[in-house]
Amino acid sequence: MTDREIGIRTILARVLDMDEANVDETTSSETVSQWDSLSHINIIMLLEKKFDVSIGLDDIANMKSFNRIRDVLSTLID
Amino acid sequence: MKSTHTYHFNREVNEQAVSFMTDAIERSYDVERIDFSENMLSLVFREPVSTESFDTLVERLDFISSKMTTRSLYENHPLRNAPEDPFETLLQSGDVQPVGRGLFVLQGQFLKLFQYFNEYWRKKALELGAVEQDNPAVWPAGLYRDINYIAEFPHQIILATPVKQHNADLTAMAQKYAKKKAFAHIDITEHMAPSEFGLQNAVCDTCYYVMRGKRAFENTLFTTYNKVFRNECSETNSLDRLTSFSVRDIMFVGDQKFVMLQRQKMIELTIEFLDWLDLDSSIAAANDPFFTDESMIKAVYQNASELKYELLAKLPFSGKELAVGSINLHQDFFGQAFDITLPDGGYVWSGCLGIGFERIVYALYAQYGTEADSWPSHLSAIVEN
Repeated sequence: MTDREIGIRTILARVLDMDEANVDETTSSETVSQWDSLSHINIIMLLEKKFDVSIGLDDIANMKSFNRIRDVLSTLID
Repeated sequence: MKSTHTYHFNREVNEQAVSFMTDAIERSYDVERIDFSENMLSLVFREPVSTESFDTLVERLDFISSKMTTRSLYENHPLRNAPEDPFETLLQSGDVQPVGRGLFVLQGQFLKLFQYFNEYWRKKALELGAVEQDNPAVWPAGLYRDINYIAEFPHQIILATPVKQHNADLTAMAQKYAKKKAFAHIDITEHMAPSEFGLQNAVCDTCYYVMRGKRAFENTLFTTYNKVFRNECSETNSLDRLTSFSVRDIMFVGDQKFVMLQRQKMIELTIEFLDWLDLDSSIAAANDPFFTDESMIKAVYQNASELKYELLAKLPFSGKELAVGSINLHQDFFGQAFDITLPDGGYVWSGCLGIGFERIVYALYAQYGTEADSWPSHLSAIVEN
């Protein structure tokens, strides 16, 4: 895992109350029942702070998986 | 038990963001008082709310409001003297008569304008070849289930339920609520049956509901007019927020290209309508009034994708804007929810235009005043005939 992926994993584990070891590329709102509307907003807020980015609304609504988060961050940062 | 909270914002919060946040909170909690001044939000809840959950809630709402778009498709801001709130005059004339919380009887000039605008939009729909429908004012429980309405909009629901069909319950209700027993409310926990119906929260949904399971659906426009019910009411029990209000909808269902074209047509017709009225108004991107839990992300998506545009008319006496209608793009939401498919097997797309008549007439009075003689001649002619 890259440093960025580790950062994403830490945030997802913290907000979704999961062991970091259980967060991977298959983690999404479809597979994790705690990933509801409120926790999603928390995830986005923490991602913005951690990676010092501003995430647009169109991306926010679609960042509902580990992979989508990684892809959007990649677009914003790289 | 009451609870009082304050929240200091770290950024300059504009009026629109405050309105967005306070609306969302009022829809989700029992709020006694809400104030905003000098970047501080103060709230008194009529229910216990912990400081931690309050702070978290406002933090989230602040975050979302900072990102929401206000893209506008149309702006018309003529300079006019601002008359006072017409509501008292309308009450005195008898054109508007209160029935109960958010409920009014309408007659006279107010009703003439209302009916004229309803007919205006009915004719537009028929000119476009729309199929005219009439639908019941209640939704079956299955409709709520299929569109996940209760999970997303619990704050707007008003259910209807009969007395249990047992003699003991019928007798008990008859005795408990006889005329001589003064009562303001009716207890539904004891003798009432589980609800099969709710008062409809929008006029268009039954149109899609009755198409459920349809295959090879062809592009079609529909129009309907009916009452809509929301569990909300203005603080002043005025016409700006009603428990029961009247809506004409034009619905368009079919393939994506057809639906997008019809939505554009509805935008053009709405601009033509607002120009004709020459109201201080706009058409701007919006989102459904959401409950602060389940539907928050849906509202974010709606706003980001510009799935909803609201027709906003200014109330000069308060400086606030009143949503008098909306143009909505559902994409394939109803197609999926009700399993309606196109000839190519894909789900149908849909959209609708809705105009609320109490509000648009109220906005017209608020901007032009209650004396029809002083209105533009084409508008005064409506009430003089």
